[in-house]
Amino acid sequence: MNDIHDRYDTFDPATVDHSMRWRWSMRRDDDEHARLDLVLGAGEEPDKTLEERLKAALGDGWEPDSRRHEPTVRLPYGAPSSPARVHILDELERRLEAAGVRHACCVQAFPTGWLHIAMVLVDRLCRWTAEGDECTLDDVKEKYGTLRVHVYGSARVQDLADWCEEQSVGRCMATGREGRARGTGWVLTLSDATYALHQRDRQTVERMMYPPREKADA
Amino acid sequence: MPDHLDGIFDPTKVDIRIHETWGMSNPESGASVHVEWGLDRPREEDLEGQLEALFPDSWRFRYKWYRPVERLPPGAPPPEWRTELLASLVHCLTASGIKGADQFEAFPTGWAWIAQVMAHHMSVWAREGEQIRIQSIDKDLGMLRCYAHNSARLKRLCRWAQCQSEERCMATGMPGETRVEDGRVLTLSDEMHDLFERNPAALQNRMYRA
Repeated sequence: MNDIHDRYDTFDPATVDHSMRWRWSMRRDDDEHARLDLVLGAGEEPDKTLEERLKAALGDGWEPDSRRHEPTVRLPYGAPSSPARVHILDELERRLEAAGVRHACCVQAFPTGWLHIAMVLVDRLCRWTAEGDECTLDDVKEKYGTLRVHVYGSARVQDLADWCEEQSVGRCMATGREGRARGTGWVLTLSDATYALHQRDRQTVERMMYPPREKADA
Repeated sequence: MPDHLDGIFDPTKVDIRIHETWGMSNPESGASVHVEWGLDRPREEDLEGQLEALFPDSWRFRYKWYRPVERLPPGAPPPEWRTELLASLVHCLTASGIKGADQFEAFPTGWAWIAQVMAHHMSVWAREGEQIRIQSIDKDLGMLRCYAHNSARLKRLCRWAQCQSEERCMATGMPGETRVEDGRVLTLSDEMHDLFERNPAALQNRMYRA
């Protein structure tokens, strides 16, 4: 029986593609909009030879810009309702503990808008620990408007932590909708509508992201 | 522009610059390479050929296209305003000496803001002395097709409009995707697609209210 799916949210983390891919970029130094992006297939390693050939073909005026490890597929926008947050996180913590993941309580740090990320994280960690992986959650927090998942474990567990962080970029912390980082004194990623609400009523947005436990349980 | 249609959306503030783009992909692995040549820069055809030669035959999907510097914000006027809005654009364009202005009547509600931006720039350019003739404005495969003569900037404006219509719901201007239904290709949001399945006439009324 899947308590979360049946009671709080229809999102199915088991169907989510958590693979990562490499993106290598170059840009022209006199025009920030001129760029080349080489995106590799899921699981492919960077091809330095191809990169050198591309660099040589583009010639002077172009320079390497960045190399990023990013999710192959963007998680659809959306999130459960704020009142469901504590119940979902309690269920996720219980599953992690049952699977033998140490420091499972770290999962309680997810804001409402990023709960689908949390559900994918827990789905995979439970599955992989059942296959023999060892895993310790060290810390989960929000920093500069994006998620940080510090975890000890195998290479695929580390990749999963990167996946979680990348999926939080541009995802509203309150609603899970498309958003961007906003300087509110504390950098928060918020949708346009939530940011407008934050400017009028900061406390309501804080309660949407992190609803107080006693009220949610009432 | 009638007063009640003014102020909802300001077409004069919209960035109409586009990037020329080029790319290839490998359908087996999902890998891709994508180049944007820069703001309003022409594509570098020779260099595109050199880049293409660096990739093996498995990278067999190639494209040359355009991308607007900024996506128009999602949205559209209410459907009941469509006729009056487009009529006011036709009137304004005709008054500026533009031939074929009645082609603007083909815009669906969801793409009305694209029409407003095009009309604004065409009117300005016509008043500068440019001879403008709109040959046709049509929908093809869920995208806008505009043909107008006779300058490079006009051609780029038509490309900009075509790019903006991609993935923009023809009824609401919200993010949408191309759907094939009963032999028709429409770009619709999920909500409007549901409406189409329940009541095609109601959707038609949202897109092309007379």
